[in-house]
Amino acid sequence: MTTADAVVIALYLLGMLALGWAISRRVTSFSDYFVAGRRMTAPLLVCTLVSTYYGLDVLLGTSEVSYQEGVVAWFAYARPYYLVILVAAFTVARRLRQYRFLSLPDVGAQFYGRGTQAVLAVASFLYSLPILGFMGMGVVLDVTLGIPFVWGVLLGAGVSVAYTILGGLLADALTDTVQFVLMTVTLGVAAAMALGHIGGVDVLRERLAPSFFRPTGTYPVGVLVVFALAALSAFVEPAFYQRIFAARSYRAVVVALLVGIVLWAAFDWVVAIVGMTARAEGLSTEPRYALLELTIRSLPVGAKGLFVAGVLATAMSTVDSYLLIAGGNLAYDLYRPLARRPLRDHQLLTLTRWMIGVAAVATIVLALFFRTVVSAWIFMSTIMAAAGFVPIVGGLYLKRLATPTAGFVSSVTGILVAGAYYALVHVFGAFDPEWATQIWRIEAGGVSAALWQEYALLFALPASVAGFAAVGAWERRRGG
Amino acid sequence: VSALAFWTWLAIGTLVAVPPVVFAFFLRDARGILRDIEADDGPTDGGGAA
Repeated sequence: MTTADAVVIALYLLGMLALGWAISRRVTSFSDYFVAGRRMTAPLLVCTLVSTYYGLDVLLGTSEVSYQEGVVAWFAYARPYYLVILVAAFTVARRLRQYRFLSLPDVGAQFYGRGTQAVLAVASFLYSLPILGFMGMGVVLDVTLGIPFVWGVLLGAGVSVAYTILGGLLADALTDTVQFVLMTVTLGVAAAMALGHIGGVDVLRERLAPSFFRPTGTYPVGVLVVFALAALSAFVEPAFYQRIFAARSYRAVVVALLVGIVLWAAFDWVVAIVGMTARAEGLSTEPRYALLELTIRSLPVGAKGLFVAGVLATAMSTVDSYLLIAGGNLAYDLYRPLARRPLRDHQLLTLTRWMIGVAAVATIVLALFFRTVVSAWIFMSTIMAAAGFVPIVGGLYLKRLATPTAGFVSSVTGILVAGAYYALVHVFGAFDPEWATQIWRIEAGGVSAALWQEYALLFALPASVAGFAAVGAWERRRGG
Repeated sequence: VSALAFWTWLAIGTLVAVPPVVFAFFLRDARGILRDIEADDGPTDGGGAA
């Protein structure tokens, strides 16, 4: 990296701060702040949806899987999400637009009351803490500029927190538009240059094993099923919900999601191919950083700085959105219903800004505490889906069973079963270095089973469905 | 051209060409969104659906 590259990165960070400051002067109400006054049009939604949903977990995680396994990273892990988002666009999104919700826990409050709202708020808060984003920014600034990890985390987080606190969702969305263009275009150019460097795409077939081009790779069937099931979390994605509520119209949501699916598919595919290119190049690095090292090696001076700014943009566009949601969960979803006197609009606005700061501090503490971040992230996703999927879909489509107790029992059962499963796998299982995860191997009566910690949702979702159906049916019978 | 090369270059082309077009459409809308927010005082309570 040269001085020119460092200047490009510094200009990017200052530009984000300036944008947040400019927006803050225009935001006067909580609705303006939290859902951009429900004025977001399709192009703005495309930019913010695509950039928010894709953070460093996708950029580094997908390239890591493709570096080790090949195109299965796209076919098995990424593709189910497009299908779920497509279904959600024409079902859940349409139904949600019939209400005046501001947040995902609002859905719980509408159908089941404060208990379920509080459970969903806690699950959403935990899910939204951008631990991986904070750590990723620290790693990127360390690898590229030599800034010590802790200072990198504080610098990246500090800039994201500052403009999010200042301008809310609109600042988040406007910075997302710049970050969206930066992250997609720089990735496309970097991939083209890296592929040109090795002599074209088809060279990959000559240098890599045939299993790299098998859509199912070498994963066990159970893991492929879990990958597909994990995509259901898109149905209870807090950022996805916030953007549906912030949209100017339902049509804008559908257009944005359809364009978004095309862009997500292209982004995932290119990231997967770059990961495979790094492997074909014989790059001996930690798989997670293969994409970073390959592209930085392939790009000329100046373009490197632009690419690092693009990588930071990928992280920051996710970090800002989820910090806003986590702050909103504390102020709007948890504190506001418990306050003795109704909060005035400006009080709620101020409190949310403070809570974003609290969420940022909680994230920094966890980012420095957790060593296996991916495991922590999978756990949080599982908790979110286990707590929210059944009560939300039940409230929207099974109103006859959706009693307050059914929603609460379903939500709590999902969390408890997921938590208990994780506890059992960690107490009785062991870390498997081959798959880099915790696995509990059981043998009884000549039958053996390998229970991965990632299977928690396979148990939690049916338990949540059973709790919802049993309590809903019982209360219905008792009531009528 | 192999299928692998075709889809890869199509994906790269999509990443490089589509976002600037979306951004151009966004610029058309942005001024109106900011003007609307400046003109509107917004709700006076912290109410949502709950």
